[in-house]
Parts: sequence; C-alpha cells; structure tokens
Amino acid sequence: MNVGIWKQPQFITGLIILVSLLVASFVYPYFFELPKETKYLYENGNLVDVAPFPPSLVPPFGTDVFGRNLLALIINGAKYTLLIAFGIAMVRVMLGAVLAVIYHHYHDKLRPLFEDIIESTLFIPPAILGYVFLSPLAVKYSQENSGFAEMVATQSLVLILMGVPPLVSVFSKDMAKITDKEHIVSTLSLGAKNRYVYFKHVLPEMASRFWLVIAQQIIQVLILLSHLGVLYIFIGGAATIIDGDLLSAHEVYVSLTGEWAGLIGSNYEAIYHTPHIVLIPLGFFFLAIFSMNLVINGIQNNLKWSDRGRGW
Amino acid sequence: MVTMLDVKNLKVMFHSKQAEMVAVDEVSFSVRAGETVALIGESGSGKSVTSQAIMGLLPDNGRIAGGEVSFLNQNLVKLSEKEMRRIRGMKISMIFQDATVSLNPTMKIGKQIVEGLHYHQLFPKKESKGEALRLLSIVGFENPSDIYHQYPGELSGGMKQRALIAMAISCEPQLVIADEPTTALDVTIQKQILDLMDDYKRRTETSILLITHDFGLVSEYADRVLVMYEGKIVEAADVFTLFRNPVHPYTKGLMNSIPRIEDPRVMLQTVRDMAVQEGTFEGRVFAPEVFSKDGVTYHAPSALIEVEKGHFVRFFTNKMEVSRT
Ligand SMILES: Nc1ncnc2c1ncn2[C@@H]1O[C@H](COP(=O)(O)OP(=O)(O)OP(=O)(O)O)[C@@H](O)[C@H]1O
Ligand SMILES: [Mg+2]
Repeated sequence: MNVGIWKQPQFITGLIILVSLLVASFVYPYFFELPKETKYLYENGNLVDVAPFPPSLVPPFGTDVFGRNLLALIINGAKYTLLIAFGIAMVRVMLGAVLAVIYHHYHDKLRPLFEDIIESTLFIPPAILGYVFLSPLAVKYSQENSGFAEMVATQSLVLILMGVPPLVSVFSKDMAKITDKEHIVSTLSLGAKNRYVYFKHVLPEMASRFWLVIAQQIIQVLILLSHLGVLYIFIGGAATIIDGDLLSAHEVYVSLTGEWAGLIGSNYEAIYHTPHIVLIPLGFFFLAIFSMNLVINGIQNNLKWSDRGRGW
Repeated sequence: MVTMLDVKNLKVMFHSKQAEMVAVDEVSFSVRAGETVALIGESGSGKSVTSQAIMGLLPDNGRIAGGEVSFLNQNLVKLSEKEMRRIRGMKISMIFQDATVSLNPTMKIGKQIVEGLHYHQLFPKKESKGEALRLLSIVGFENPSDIYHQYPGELSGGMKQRALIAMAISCEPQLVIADEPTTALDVTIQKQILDLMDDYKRRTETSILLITHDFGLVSEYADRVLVMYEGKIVEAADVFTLFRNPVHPYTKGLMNSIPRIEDPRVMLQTVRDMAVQEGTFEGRVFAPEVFSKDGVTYHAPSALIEVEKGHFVRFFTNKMEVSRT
C-alpha cells in the first residue's frame, strides 16, 4: 500500500460512500431521536391505518412493521453493521496471518491434518455453518438473559473462527511463494533468524495483500450477516416480542442493535405484502458491498501499478 | 597461508517425488586466506549447489549425504542451525547472481544493506545509518545518502550489484562466495564490479570463491581454478598451470571457446561432447560418470590423479583400459 492508492477514483468513490454511511450513522442520534414504534394511525380519533406505513406517508422509504421510519433505522444500523463486518474481517485476517506463519513453518507436520479440515469445510455454505453454530447460542442467551457484550463477543468469535481456516490456507501459499524468492535466501545468507525473515520481509511484502483480503472478507461477512438475518440470527441477539392481536398472537424477533441483518430478519414476514421493507435494507447491503468492491478494484489497480513502478 | 575453507568429499543429494539424485559428489578443494578460487563449469554442473551446501542453505529437498566442510578447522556440516547462523554473514557471506531478485524490492537500500549488522548485533541501531553510508561509499557510490533512501527498483543493475556487495561485506566476513556475480551485467560493468571485489579482497585479505561460466574472468581474477562437470571436479590447478597445460578435454573445450557472455549455453553444448574422449593423456580415458560407446554403457569409478605438482585431473579410471560393468 502506498500513496498511489489515493489516486484511484474507484477506491475513493467506494471509501466516500462507506465513510458517509458511517458518519451519518454516528451523527444521526445527536440530531434526531431514534424512531419510536407507532403501530396505529388515528385520524380524528378513528383508526385509519396500521403499520407498516407506505413511503407516501413516511418518506422516503415508509416504515417497518413496527411503524418506525425505515431510513432512520437503516442509518442508525449502518455503524453496527459496517463496524461489525470490518472488525470480524480484520481479526480474521490478523489471526489468519499469524496462524499462517506457524502453519507455513511447520508445514510438513501440520499439512496432512489441516488440509483435510479445510477441504471439508469449504463445501459447506457459510450461512449454514454459521446457523449451526449460532442458533444454539441464540437460544442459550435468550434463556439465560446474559450480558449483551458477552453475546456480541461470542457471536463475533464464532464468525471470526469460521473464516480463519481458508485464510490460513491462502496466506501460507502466498508465504511459500515469497520465501522461495531469492532475496529471502539472500537474507538468510546474512545470518537472519526465521522469525526475523517473517516479520521484516514476508509479512511486509504481504501488507497490501492483507488490505485486499480484509476488503474481500468484509463483503463475505456482510453477505453472511444478511443470510443469518433471514434465519433470525442477529448480532447482539434478539428480543422476542409477541405481536398481533389476541386472536392471532405470534412471536417476532427484534434485533437489539438495529443492525441491518436484524432489520431484515424482524421484518421478514412483510416480504409477502410489503416487500420493500425487506428489499430496502437488502439494497443497503448491496450498496455497502458495491462500495467495498470499488475499494477492492482500486487496491488491485494500485497493486498492479506499484508492481510495475518498482520493476518487479 | 592459513586454510580458510576445506571441503572434503562433499556429496549432495536431492530427492524428488520418487527418486533421489546426486547433484554433487566427491568434491574436495580448499581455499586459503586471501586467495581467489574459481569454480567453473557449465550450467547444471553443481556449482551453486556446492555453495549452498557450504552455507548450509540447501533447498528443502536437498541434503548433504557425505563429506566435510571445514571452515577454520570447524566442520560446518555438524553445526546446529543456530551455530550456523553465527557463521553466515559474519564469517562467510554470499553475493548472488541476480541483484534484481536478490534484494527485497519493498525495502530501502540503506536499511537492507545493514540487516546483517542487526542480525549479528554488531552495531547499535542508532549508528547503523552511518555504517550504511560508509559501506555504500566503499562499494563506489559517490552519493551514499541519496542511495540510502532509494528502493532497489530505482537503481541500475550494476548499482544493485554494488549494493549486494555492500551487504555481503557488511560484517567483514573472511570468505565471500560470489555465485556468478556479474553474469547479469554487461561487460564493462562486469569489469568494474569484479575490480571492486578484487580491490576489497586485496585490502582486507578476504578469501573469495568465485563461481562462474567464464574462463575469461578466471584468467584475470583467480589464483586457482576448479573445473566442475556433472557434479564432480574434473580438473584443479593454479591458474598459470591450468592455462599453460590444460589436460582434461572438457577444460580445453571451455578454454577454447571463452564465452563472451552472449550465450554461454550454446558453446557449452559443444563442450559436453568433448568430455568423452580417449587417449589424449597418456592413453587414459576422460569421461563423465556414465557414458555409452559402441552400444555399451560404462559406469566410471573415476578418480582425481595428480599429473604434475598441484595439478589434478579426473580420468575415467585409474587404469589405462576401459572396464565393462
Ligand atoms: N532444489 C533442487 N531440487 C532438485 N534438484 C536440484 C535442485 N537444485 C539444484 N538441483 C540440481 O542440481 C544440479 C546442479 O545444479 P546447480 O544449480 O548447482 O548448477 P549450477 O552449476 O549452479 O548451474 P548454473 O550455472 O545454471 O547456475 C542440477 O542438475 C540441478 O538440476
Ligand atoms: Mg548456479
């Protein structure tokens, strides 16, 4: 990574979109109150409408099934969604890099075991893997009412660990390519320790690659979160609310943080009559992923550039 | 004169998926203090493998299958990796063929050339910049402080090779192994680089093991010459003796076509055909390990024989006649 990255229009566009979402999300509560639930609309004492309200009534996107302004919810949820995705991606990559060093170093002994584990996990869709691990957790926490922070931490840990093995595999292959290079032999011929070679030569050479992978991981995590949202797994857990009237009461899960996946999940039943309530948060997922892709393209272009510039 | 390096019966093997293959065998030679010994031979003859074995830096699939590498009477083959690290850079260092790939493209020159000093903790970090500048000026840079901040990609081939030399001499080793240090450079730059090394050697009494394709360089810079062919030394002598009286047909072949770097490989192909030749030295047969003649395959129990004082040649057998196996 170098200064050239700031000359990549795609990178900048993507970054501006993401940063604006984040800034708006953090600033929003200082200027507006968070939307309150408004289930019924009365006019002159008469009930005229029931939530969700259409965009014509509450611009620009209408409300969710609890009558809250959808745009406000989305803006408010952006920070949780994006930062959680970023955090998980970041830790995945850092953990992956450290483990890759160990794995690459003891390659001969660890490979037979490790390769099998990875191979077998690669074919399971992450959403299913996530569901299998996280749903018992969700049940456990809703019963025990444990702390919110603990819940988030445990869930994040699961999502992090899920993504690490493939990264270890990818990174250790990159490392093998770098350690085969002659300048590494040249360093060793000066008496370098292996540890030194990894920290001074191998990892720095992979730095721009790490940024790229973090960006890719953010996308993967966003996709995963949106899938899990549909399966009623929300980061931070859900409150169970009894909704409907006395005759047709049913449980609704409401995300505690307000992140987008939770928004999708708790409104999912609306897909049949007012699909836009689900589709709009999905659209924002799409926007975030699209921006992230711009960032990735920018990084990749820049990598190509600097490769040429340095005469590799 | 003190013997710096003494290699005895070195044998190096590589294993691939199925087979094990001998890359270097029965290699014995010594390098004395302040001496430049040239190791010459065609591509694939085992020159680099020999140097890697000395440094203890063979690729993962290679191993030293026999023999000794003594450095100042210490057998390096027996040392642990940790003890070996103290030798590398500090006592024996290497200059590689292609500076473009032997320098880390993402690290500034100045930082890079003093890495060895850090490994061996010869200098406090604060003073290492001054030392880097000093090294850069030793290898002939007139503007060391500019070079210090540049990346390898910003330098020409000859400049990079100078930087690589600065790196190799940073810890003042007693032996420098230069593996075709100038093959990648054009002829005028080549001479500058070798003169630089030669000059440094004379001032500091450093020994040099110069690996090369090129007999032209050998005549100019080496004190003694080892001719290597198919993993074995086929002829060894001091440079005057060898040029006065080359015995092995392979040596003669190399000499007669002193390559001008354009394409050493082409000329070496023709040299290969000369290695199997009969009766050119007192009726003895010169040969590689295995060769076919008249539809019969021969395996050679070859040996080095001293034909005159300090002049060794490998023949097909010790006896006159060719034996069938
Ligand atoms: N990692 C390896 N695995 C298997 N065989 C190898 C390996 N490295 C070298 N060899 C073999 O060892 C032999 C000697 O190779 P070496 O690199 O020493 O040749 P060289 O004399 O240095 O040639 P060049 O002039 O091209 O540098 C060759 O036959 C080569 O195929
Ligand atoms: Mg070589």
